[in-house]
Amino acid sequence: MKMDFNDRKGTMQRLLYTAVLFLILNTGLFAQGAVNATISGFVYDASNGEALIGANVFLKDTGRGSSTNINGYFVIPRLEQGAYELVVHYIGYESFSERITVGSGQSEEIKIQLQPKAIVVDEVVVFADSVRLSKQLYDRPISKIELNQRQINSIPQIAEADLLRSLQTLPGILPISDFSSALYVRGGTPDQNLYLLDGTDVYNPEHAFGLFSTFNTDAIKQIELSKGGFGAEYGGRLSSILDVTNLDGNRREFEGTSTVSLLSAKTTLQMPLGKNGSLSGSIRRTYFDKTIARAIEDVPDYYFYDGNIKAFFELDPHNNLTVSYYGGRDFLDLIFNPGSQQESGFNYDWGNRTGSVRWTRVFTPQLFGNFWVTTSRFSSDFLFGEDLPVTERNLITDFTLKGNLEYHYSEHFGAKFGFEQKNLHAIFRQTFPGGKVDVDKSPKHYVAFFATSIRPNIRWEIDAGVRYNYFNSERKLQNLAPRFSTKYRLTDTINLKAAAGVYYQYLHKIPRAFIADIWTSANEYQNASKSEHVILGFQKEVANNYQLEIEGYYKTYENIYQFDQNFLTEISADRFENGEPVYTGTRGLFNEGDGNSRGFEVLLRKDSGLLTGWIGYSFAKTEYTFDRINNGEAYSPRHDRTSVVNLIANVDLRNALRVLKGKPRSIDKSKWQLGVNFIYTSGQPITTPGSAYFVNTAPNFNFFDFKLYPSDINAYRLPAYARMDVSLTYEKRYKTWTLAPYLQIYNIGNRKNVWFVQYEKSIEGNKIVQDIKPVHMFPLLPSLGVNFKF
Amino acid sequence: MFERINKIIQFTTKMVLLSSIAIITSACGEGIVELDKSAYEPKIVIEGFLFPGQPVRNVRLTRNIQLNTEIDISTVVLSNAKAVIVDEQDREFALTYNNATFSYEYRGSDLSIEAGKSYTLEVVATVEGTPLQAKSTTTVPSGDFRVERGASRLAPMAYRERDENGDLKQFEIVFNRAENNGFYALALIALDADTSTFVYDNAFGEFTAEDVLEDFDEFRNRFTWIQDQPLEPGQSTLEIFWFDIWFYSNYQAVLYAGDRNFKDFLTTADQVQEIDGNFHEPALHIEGDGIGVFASAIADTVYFRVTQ
Repeated sequence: MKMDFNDRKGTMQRLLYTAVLFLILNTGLFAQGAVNATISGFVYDASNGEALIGANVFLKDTGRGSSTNINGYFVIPRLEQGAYELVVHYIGYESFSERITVGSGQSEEIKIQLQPKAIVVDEVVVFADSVRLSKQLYDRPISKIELNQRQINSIPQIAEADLLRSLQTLPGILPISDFSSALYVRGGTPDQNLYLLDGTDVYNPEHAFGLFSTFNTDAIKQIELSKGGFGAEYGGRLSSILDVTNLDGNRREFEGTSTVSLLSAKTTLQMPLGKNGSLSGSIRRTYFDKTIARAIEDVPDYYFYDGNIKAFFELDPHNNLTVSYYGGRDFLDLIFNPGSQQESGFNYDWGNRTGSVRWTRVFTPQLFGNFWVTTSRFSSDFLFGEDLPVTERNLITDFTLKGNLEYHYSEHFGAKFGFEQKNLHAIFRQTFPGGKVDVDKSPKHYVAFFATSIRPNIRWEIDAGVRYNYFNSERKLQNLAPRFSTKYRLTDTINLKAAAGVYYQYLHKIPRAFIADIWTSANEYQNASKSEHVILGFQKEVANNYQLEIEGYYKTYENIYQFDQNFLTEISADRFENGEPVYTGTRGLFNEGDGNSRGFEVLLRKDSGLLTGWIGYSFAKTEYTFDRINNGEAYSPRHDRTSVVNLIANVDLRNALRVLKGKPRSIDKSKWQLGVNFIYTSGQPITTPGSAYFVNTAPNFNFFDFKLYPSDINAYRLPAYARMDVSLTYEKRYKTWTLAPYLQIYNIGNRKNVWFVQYEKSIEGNKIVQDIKPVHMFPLLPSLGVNFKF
Repeated sequence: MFERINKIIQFTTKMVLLSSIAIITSACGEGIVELDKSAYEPKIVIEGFLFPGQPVRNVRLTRNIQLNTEIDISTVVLSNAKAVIVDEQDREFALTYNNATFSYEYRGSDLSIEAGKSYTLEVVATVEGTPLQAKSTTTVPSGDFRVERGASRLAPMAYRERDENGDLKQFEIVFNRAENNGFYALALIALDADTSTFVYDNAFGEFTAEDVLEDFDEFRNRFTWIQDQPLEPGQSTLEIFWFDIWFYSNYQAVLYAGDRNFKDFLTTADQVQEIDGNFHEPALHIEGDGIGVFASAIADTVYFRVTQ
């Protein structure tokens, strides 16, 4: 079979191949002699037994160390025999220290339980045994953001915390409007983001027409978002990876949290399963179909529910098993004219189901593996009333087998390798007057990857890898995607980072506002999309507990696809049934194009103390060129914003006032927490109607049929967008219970941010007058709720 | 040490207060939309339809209108444009402006529109001092296209009438397809439309008489289409759905077998604003500085009545 290295001649790609090849061939460069003792183990939260991700583990006075992976596992290989002081450090937890002696060839395995800190102090004192913030930043891959449940829940949102909306408060990540939780990452579109829930792909992660995401924040343990430059272990999307890990469950005691707000109620329960297991489960349901829809006639009957359950079993010290399930569904019943005797309307429901079984195996202390069997299913069903015989069935299923292995050869060298087999099945069936769509495809995607990590010294790390893709649909596609990244500790407080990579995407999406998007794959009409990333990063620890990160990036896009708004002029029947057209493919549905995004981001973040949050600024520019759009000339897509300012602040009000008065802070049984979310973005590109004209649509019509003709595509910018949200939470603890009523005010300034513009005409005498009528986004929206923890 | 911390706290407090004022100020108010008038480009607007066997007439040439300005309607018509029809043999037929119909027509007897032939309209005009030209070609559909009245369901029917099984009945038009033509459009005009005949108790929305008057033309004139029909001879059926019926009235229904220009204009010209408000280009097959439609079709007309 002929390899399809379409752009092998590209300079960047050639350089990447050379670098990757050099590093892989030199993997033995740093092999060492008779130093073969190993310390390895897991790090857990002592209060609930949850594995801690990203904890720093190191041997005091040796410069040797590691950090825990997604399973809480760490390994420090190739040690000389002797006694070491093992120190574990994790933000928000008491440091752990223990003296460990290892003999020659001996492997010491240890389970570490970290105690959460009773109070998080504002000033971080750097002790000899603590890990500097800059080192923690160094350990994190370039362009990667980590948030935990507490940070997500503290950002004010509409009615309740939402993961995707929380991510939109970070530089480089934007929504298209108030009415969408979809992520636009560094100029990329939402279809270019891979959403993983406990290792399983989620295809349309949105509820309520995009207002809320499918992720219940109370069930989340950790999220990692990579905005670009991600390693060879990830692929399948051009722009970003959002990896969500749900809670394994409390292995010590029964624990619960419940939240009741004006729109929804949710609860999350966790409990131990015997001595070696745990169970967590969440359920959520909205109820404005039972409240607002009953009171206001025009509000449709709409609700969604979702829930997840996850069980964790520690089979033995070297084998863990995790079983996870998520299910959710939205239901909408709409009657067009509810007061009439002539009823007509439609029913629409949609939702996701995902499931995964993960086996975690410590083969040897140096060889660690995760293996998944995952399944993901998105479906939607639409049924119009008897007035229009339209039905729709949209289904995508994904059955995946995958394995990731980590090999820690020495402090200088490590490797990751793995495989993935993805079996996809996409069905889209639609019946409408005079025809139907009947698409049924079963593409397969095979992946193998290999990546090396070389650390020549304590200050420098080089990661290089390659990802091989074989996509088998109506056409067979093969691609090699090289990845490269490096980081360097310039000083004790400054890190420099860089990454470059080539990314391929074989799935394309037909976006549909307010209803579920349709996924299609590369086929005889659409190619694989390709993107190249180059990223440079600078990180500095400021005043011990502030993180300053500056990153610049350049991304290219090739063969990206946009839904053709004039698709009716391009499609043609693939066959006929009973004299009516049947469409079985994607011919004519997309416009193909290229583009690029470039920009830089600045983030100043503080994760501990009385005041936590971040200030971010991003400058970005994205340009597309599509054959049949804007006469083939470059234009800015709708999601392009030049400048964005984000500010997130959370303040422990009582202790902050104490500090201002010069009094010591204290641990109270109650506290007031103030949250502020501010965003300012420069105007969004929009295509305006450049002019109006009169043409009767049909020859026999004879009236002033007014039509609008657009100006250059997206040449105009809407006014700047600004919004401030505020939340106030009163938290009261009573023994093991916590009660926290809260007030959230979305858009507290009631700023009228423009969503788009409507044009109204009127004829006065023999004059035509056009009025501009801006359509605004959400006004001030207050909401109340209460959260219980027990 | 404490003094330094206090100074930092005081400085931070001041900065926070100043920033808060700036933030609160910017988070209030309203984004003001002002249209950039430079987005306007003058265009020749063409509205012309050719029918086989009929003379060329009612070709309207107008200009587009800059938005958010007051324009005298009488200045919209381009009465002094140079317009010619060119046939497949490159023969030119100059069109003449008719003051009574505000449109152009061919007054000679040597041009007969023939099925299956292509015709090009070329226009030269000056708009706001700018010389403009536009050109478009249409190919006239052919074949034995006609409505099969006997097979169609066109008998008078009550609004949303149901059959004996309780199923909703609909008007249906059965027709013989044109040759190599997959697109058929139906234009409906409610002949007795006024506010008293409007179907207020309808299934699709609550409207007052004022609403009806405001959008009267849109309620009265409706169109629908089917596309990608088989290209070989045969029959197709077009259903008339109740959401296109807004009056208890007699209806004129003109069914067109339209060419590609007709199809692309009809399916895209009114759909230039997306659901998120953004605009995109319609598919108009006019070269140069022109917009609108120059298309051809075969037409057949039937009537039906909707009763209360």
